[in-house]
Amino acid sequence: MTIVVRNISKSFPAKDDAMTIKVLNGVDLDVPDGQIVALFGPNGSGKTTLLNVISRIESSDSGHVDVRANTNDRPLLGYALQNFRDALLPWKTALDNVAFGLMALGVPHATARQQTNAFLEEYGFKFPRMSYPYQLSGGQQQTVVLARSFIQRPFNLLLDEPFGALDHEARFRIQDLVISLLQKAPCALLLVSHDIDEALYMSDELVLLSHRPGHVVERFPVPFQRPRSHVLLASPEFSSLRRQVVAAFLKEVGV
Amino acid sequence: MTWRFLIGPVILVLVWTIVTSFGLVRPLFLPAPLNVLSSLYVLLAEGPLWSDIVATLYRTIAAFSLAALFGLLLGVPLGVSREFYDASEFVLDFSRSMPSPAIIPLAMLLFGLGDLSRIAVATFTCTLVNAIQIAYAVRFIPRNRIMAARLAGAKGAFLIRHVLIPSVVPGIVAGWRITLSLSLIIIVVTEMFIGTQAGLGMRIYDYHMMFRSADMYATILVLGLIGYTLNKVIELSEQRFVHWRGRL
Repeated sequence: MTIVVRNISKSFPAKDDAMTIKVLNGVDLDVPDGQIVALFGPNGSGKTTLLNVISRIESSDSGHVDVRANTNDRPLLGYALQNFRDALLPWKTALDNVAFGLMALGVPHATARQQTNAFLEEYGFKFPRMSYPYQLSGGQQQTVVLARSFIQRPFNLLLDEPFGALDHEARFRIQDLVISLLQKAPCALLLVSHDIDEALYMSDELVLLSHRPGHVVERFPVPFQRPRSHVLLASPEFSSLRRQVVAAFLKEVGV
Repeated sequence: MTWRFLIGPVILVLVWTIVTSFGLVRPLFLPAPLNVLSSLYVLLAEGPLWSDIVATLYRTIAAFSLAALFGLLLGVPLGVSREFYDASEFVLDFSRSMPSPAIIPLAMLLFGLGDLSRIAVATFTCTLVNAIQIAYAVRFIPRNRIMAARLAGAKGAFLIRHVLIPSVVPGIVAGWRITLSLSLIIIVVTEMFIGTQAGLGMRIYDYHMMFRSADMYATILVLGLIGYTLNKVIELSEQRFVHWRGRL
C-alpha cells in the first residue's frame, strides 16, 4: 500500500543509436498509504517514464522500485495510461469497458455488469453507459477509463494526466470524485498533472521534477485539511503555496 | 433522399429502350429490354436458371468458406511470427499476383474436371487474400491496447478472447468483403472454362455460342443481382457486427 522509489535512473537510445538520452537521473519518491503525491514538472522531465518504470513496463538502469501491499485480495497496482483511448476497447459499451476491469480480475460477466452499474450509480458517474467509446466525448472516454481503474480498487494507483480531456467544471467534479473514491478504498496514489492548481488541490505532497534528465528539485508538503473544497483555490494560503511552486518551477525552466 | 438511387437504373433502361427501338444496334448485340425480361421469365419458369443459380452459389459459398478457414489458419501464424512472414512473403505475393485463370489447367490436372477443380482455383486465390488481411490485422493490434489490458490484469485465455480476437475481427471481415466477390468472379470464369452441367458462367457462354442474346443478357442480369446481393450482405453484416471499426 506504498510506493517506494529509490535512485531511479533511465536512459533511452537516441535516434541515431550512437548516443543515449538520459531521461531520469536518480529519482527518489515515496507515496505512503492513503496519500496522494502529485508529480509536476516541465515537458520531458520523465514523468511518464517514471510511471512506466514503477509499473514495470520499462526497466530502470539503476535504483529500485518497491510497490507494496499487505494482502492480495485487491490488485497490487493500477495504472491509467496518459493515452486513455488505448485503454478503451472499441467493441465494448462504456458499461462493459468499466466491467472489463472486474472481469480481468476473474468476476463473471453478469456479476461484473451488476457491480459496475451499482458502482457507477453510487459515485454518480454521468457518461451514457450503453454508448460505444466512439460515441463518447474525449472527456467521457477518459472518465470511463478512470472508472475502470477505480472499480478494481487497487492498493496502489498511477494516474498519468487523468483529467486532461475534461472541461473545467467536469475536472473539478471528478477531482472530488477521485478523492471520495480514495476515502472508501484507500490506496497510495501517484498522480501526474500539468495543472498546478489540480496538483495542489488533490495532493498531500507535490514533487517538482527538473527538466531532462529528471530529478527531484523540491518537495512541497500540502498542508490543507481534508475534506477540501474548490473554494480553497481562492484562499491566500493556497495562493502563497502556489506562488512558491511557480517560483521554483520558473527557476528550474530558466524563465 | 433514398429514391435517388432509382435515377441511374431508370436512365439506363431508357437509353437502352431508345437505342433498341430505333434500331440503332442489331438485336443480336443488344436485344430490347422487354425481350430480355420475357427471356428471364421463361428461363425462371422453365427451370434451367434455378439449377444454374444453385450450382454457382454453392461453388461460390464453398470456395469462400474454405478460403475463410484456410486464410485464418495461414494468416494467424503469419501475423504472429515476423520470421515466418519474411520467409513466406515472396511466395505469397507471387501466388497472389498470379491471375487465377492461369492456374485453371493446373487445377484440372490435379483435381479432374469436376467441381473440385473450380472450387480449388477460387479457394487458392481467396485464401491468400484472407491470409494477408489477417496477418496484417494480427501484426497491427495496437500495442498499447494490449499493454493497457495487461495492466488491468488481463492475461492468457481472457486476454485472447476479450482483447486479441476482437481486435483482429475487422481485418478478417475486410478479407471476406473482398473474397466473397472474388470467389464469385473466379467461379464464373472457371464455369466457362471447365465443362459442367449447370452454372451461370457456363450458361452465359453457351447462350453466346448459340446466338441466344436475350437469354445471355437475362443470365448476366441475374448474375449481377447475385453479386450485388452478396456485397450488400457483407456490407450490412460489417455495419452490424464491426460497427466500431476504425472509429477509435
